[in-house]
Amino acid sequence: MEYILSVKNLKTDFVDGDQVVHAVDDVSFDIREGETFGLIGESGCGKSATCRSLIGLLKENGTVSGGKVIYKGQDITHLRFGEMQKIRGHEIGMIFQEPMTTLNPVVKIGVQLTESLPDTMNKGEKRKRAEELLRMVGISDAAQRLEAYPHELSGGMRQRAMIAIALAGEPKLLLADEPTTALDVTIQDQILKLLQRLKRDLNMSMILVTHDLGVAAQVCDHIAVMYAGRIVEKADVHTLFHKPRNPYTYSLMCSLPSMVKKGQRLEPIEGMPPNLKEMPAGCAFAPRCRYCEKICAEKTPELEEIGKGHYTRCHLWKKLEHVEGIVEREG
Amino acid sequence: MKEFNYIIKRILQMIPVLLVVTVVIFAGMRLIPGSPAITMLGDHATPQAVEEMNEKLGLNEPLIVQYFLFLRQVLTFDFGNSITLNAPVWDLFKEKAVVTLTLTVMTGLFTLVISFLFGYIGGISRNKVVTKTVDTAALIFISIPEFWIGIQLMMIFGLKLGLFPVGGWGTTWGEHLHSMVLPAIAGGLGTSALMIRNIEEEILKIRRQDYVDFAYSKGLKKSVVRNRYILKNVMVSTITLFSMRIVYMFAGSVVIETVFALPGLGNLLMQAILSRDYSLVQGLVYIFAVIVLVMNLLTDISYSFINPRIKLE
Repeated sequence: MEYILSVKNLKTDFVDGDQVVHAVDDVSFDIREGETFGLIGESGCGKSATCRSLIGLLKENGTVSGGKVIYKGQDITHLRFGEMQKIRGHEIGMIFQEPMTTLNPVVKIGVQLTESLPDTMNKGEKRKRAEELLRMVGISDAAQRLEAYPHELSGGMRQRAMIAIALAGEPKLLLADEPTTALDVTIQDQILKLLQRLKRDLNMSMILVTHDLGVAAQVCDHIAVMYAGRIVEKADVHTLFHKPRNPYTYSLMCSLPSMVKKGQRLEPIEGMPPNLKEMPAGCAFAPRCRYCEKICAEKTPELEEIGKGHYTRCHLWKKLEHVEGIVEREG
Repeated sequence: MKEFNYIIKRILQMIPVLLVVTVVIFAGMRLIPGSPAITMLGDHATPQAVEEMNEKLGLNEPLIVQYFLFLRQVLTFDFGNSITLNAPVWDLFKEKAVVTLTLTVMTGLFTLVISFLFGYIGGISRNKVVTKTVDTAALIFISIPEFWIGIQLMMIFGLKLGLFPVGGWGTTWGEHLHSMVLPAIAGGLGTSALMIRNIEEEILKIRRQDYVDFAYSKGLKKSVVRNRYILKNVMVSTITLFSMRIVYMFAGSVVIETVFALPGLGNLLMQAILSRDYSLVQGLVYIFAVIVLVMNLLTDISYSFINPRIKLE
């Protein structure tokens, strides 16, 4: 199998005061060429930190302390700045959550679009390409929008512009960090469809970070569910949604209106994710888990393969064997 | 068109402000003890002589009449003659304005260069020692009064090393500029220190913004990110501070001009106040007020060029 990106035992630490927090703890996954890989979980579970670690864009107090990121056979974990800039944008692009704060407020959209185009193009060619990119993401009056500042565009328009800017360098892999979270529901759907279309047309692979299971079900091929910095379940989308074998994944589904069967009650997950500074002994989800037994509080479960390509981190996953047929409803 | 309306509106808004200014200057001057007649004639002048002089200067008129005479001068932009120097106020202003303007421009340039240089180094450096050193030095210079810095500079570079004149303004432009170096440094260090702290903080804040991460994620060169993303955004807040300080430098030229014996507006105003030269003080302060208001307007207009989110309306 050809992998465009392999992440092996990635560890990322953040320094907070005099404490070190393991935001990403021993995370591994592989992205096949052309697929969409979902990283899902509640906020603060390490999805974004994982995503940012891949291209070395951590905040100042964060470092990748272990593991490897291999892109097309090249280890890019600790590249020098100059080498990394050749990968960023041109091989691996990234789009962010907040279109409001992700565009430079004092520079025109046109400049932000053209600055990552190759220097071999002249001014006219760059401009033409920039218009093309804007049209590609569904912005109609492209020539006019090139002269606009970010604050002159609506939220959805800004998100489209941001996508166009990220695609200017023609990346082969797109990291999408909660690309629809800050948008209205109607716009969310448009942007999601746009991303799927672009991925197909431009032959890209994509990592989609989201807390929205509905979104993940709609677009992802493979999914890794994260909790407290670790992957707790990993499978292809069909297996994951029909045979969840981790209580956390199952609880997430039961709390989502579009996931449960008609007539079934929604069940919110009680409590909060653990503070990464004070991780409980044993399984991190144990305090909130309805299946929790004695062993869970004592021993940290390992990620084990329970079916072909289906991994779970749970002592008691067999208890979930009866769980089946979580219905995906469109929309 | 919107811009034009905005400017007209702002100019109309100046009128009430300037009216209040005239009342304050007029009342202020009459409230200080002493009179121009006694200052001119000396302490031993006879009461008749003083009376005659008051008559001649028009100071025997009721205050309200004197005020309206002043107001008429203001409205016609003819500030009359200085009582003590026997020359038109406007001519005196023009003659001295060159000095103060040169001082302000040189102080401003010095401030810009120093503050951007060190603010940038302090903000962009990941070396804690560098940042701390710049920070501490800035804090020290914020706290030292400018006249004291002026005196120290004079002692070291003027008297000991003999590199610069300790006072006066010379006769040629070469001498003018040469004699302005120490005053510009003395007057600019405080503001530079303030701006260094501001630029440093802004850079630290902006460096953490999503758009900077996004810029790096696009594979841009470090220099592009620093100039187009960090510096350009730093400008937005820094230019506000700078324009406020440059008005302050102009209006605050009194101290530096006195320390360095520069024949500028500050010096002239000081003399005028000491000799109770009512018409000169009134005229000068009024012109100062107009200049400050115009500079504020220009600053506000310049914002819209630097920060596209600001519209002149």
